[in-house]
Amino acid sequence: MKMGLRVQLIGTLIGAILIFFVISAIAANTTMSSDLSNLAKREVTSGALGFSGYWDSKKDQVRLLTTQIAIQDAIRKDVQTKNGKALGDALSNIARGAELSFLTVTDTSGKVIARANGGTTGVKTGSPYIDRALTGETVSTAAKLGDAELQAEQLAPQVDTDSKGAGGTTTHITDGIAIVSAAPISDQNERTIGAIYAGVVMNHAYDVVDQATRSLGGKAAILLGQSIVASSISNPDGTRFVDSDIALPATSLAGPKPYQGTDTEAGTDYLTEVDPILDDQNTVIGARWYGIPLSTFREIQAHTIQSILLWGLVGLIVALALAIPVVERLSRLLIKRSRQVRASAKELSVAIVGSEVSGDHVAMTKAAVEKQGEILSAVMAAPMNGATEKVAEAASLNAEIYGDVIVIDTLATEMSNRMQQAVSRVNELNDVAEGLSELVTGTKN
Amino acid sequence: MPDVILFFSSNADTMIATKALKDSGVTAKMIPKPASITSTANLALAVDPAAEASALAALGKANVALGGVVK
Repeated sequence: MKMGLRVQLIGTLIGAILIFFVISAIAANTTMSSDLSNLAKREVTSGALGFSGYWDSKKDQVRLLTTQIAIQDAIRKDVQTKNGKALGDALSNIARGAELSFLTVTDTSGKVIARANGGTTGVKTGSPYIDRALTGETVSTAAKLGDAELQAEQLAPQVDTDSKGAGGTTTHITDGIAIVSAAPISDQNERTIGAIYAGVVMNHAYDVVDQATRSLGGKAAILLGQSIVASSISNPDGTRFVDSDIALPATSLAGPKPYQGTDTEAGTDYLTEVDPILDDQNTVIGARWYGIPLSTFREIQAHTIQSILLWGLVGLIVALALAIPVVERLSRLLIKRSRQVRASAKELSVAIVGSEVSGDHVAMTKAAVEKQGEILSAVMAAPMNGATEKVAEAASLNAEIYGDVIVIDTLATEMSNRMQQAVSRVNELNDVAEGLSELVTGTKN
Repeated sequence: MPDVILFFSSNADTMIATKALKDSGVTAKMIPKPASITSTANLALAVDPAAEASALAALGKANVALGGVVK
């Protein structure tokens, strides 16, 4: 398919602009994909660190409260006198104000004197942290609390739930994950007279995850084993996504190193970091999950590519608006020059053909004249030998030669005119050549 | 048999026709235009009647506009 100059020039321009923008879009997409991926990883690492900070802050808060309560005179006095009723009331007030899930005081043998939540007293808790506190140590750690301990602290209803797993399976959760602290209670002579044991159970407690989401922007969750026991992740219907198994494999939660990768929870793709939660024995008891929706970064990427393509389209339209008149003017100029060249070539070709034809005709006439000469010579040599026929033949030839002479005369006149026209056509061709040269180089020769 | 006369709209076309016929191997002779023919050209071509068809074909092939034919 042959294309005109206009189509070729405009097509080349459009093609060049399109190639430019396609390559720009691909380059931007590739670069952004890489840069956004790195940015997302940094954001997730930073967010996970922030979430860890809120967790540690909560742990410090529980530890500080525990040690402060342990040195209150009223508490000391009630422990010394084993006034369970007064101690229970005081602990209830403190736990409610400090948002502690439980607050328990024991005597030196580890038997419970009073609990903030009520419950049985006079029995041993069995908690290793109280045993350590009774030796004078202040303990602060994350801990996995068993059903018996939670029952004793009246906290089983907060924890008991069914966690939905993949394929419709459910797991009944009776354990709790908590931040706990235990400290010795001493008398004025610094003798240990008991221990205080406090904690915040994280199952279905959302202040830490919500605080992380508000401050860091992503989503946060606390895992007990594979189960999400607290989270700020939302279901598509806006409800809180909790009491479900995490989609990640168990190996990614095993620790001790954090896991970073993609994860889909409640129908949303996240880039996540999962940090193991360790107890005081460095055993992995759960995990902190922090994620940023991948759509956040994909939307930035898609929006940028759309912008590039949109501006590319605008650029294409502007370029065409500027280029089309130029191409049109150029094409008109070339068409005009082409017509001039064609007309000149036709004129010159007529001059060349006329020259050839004239030459042929002169040669034919010369041959006729020579033939006539031969006839006349023959008549003169033998006047009596068929002179009448030969003279008649010579006369006929003469008429032909006369016609030839008229033709030669006409051709000479015609060629004279043609040669004059040829000179002007050659000048015109020089003008065309100069015009084209100026068009290409931009300067006059 | 008298020649067939081919005439054209101009002397230039007559010259071009002469060249075209020569290139096609058709013998044609350039003659002054007979007085009986009305044409703007002063020249015409005379061809043998036997060569008329091949002459017209050659002119058609060379894209030369023929003014008329007189037999």
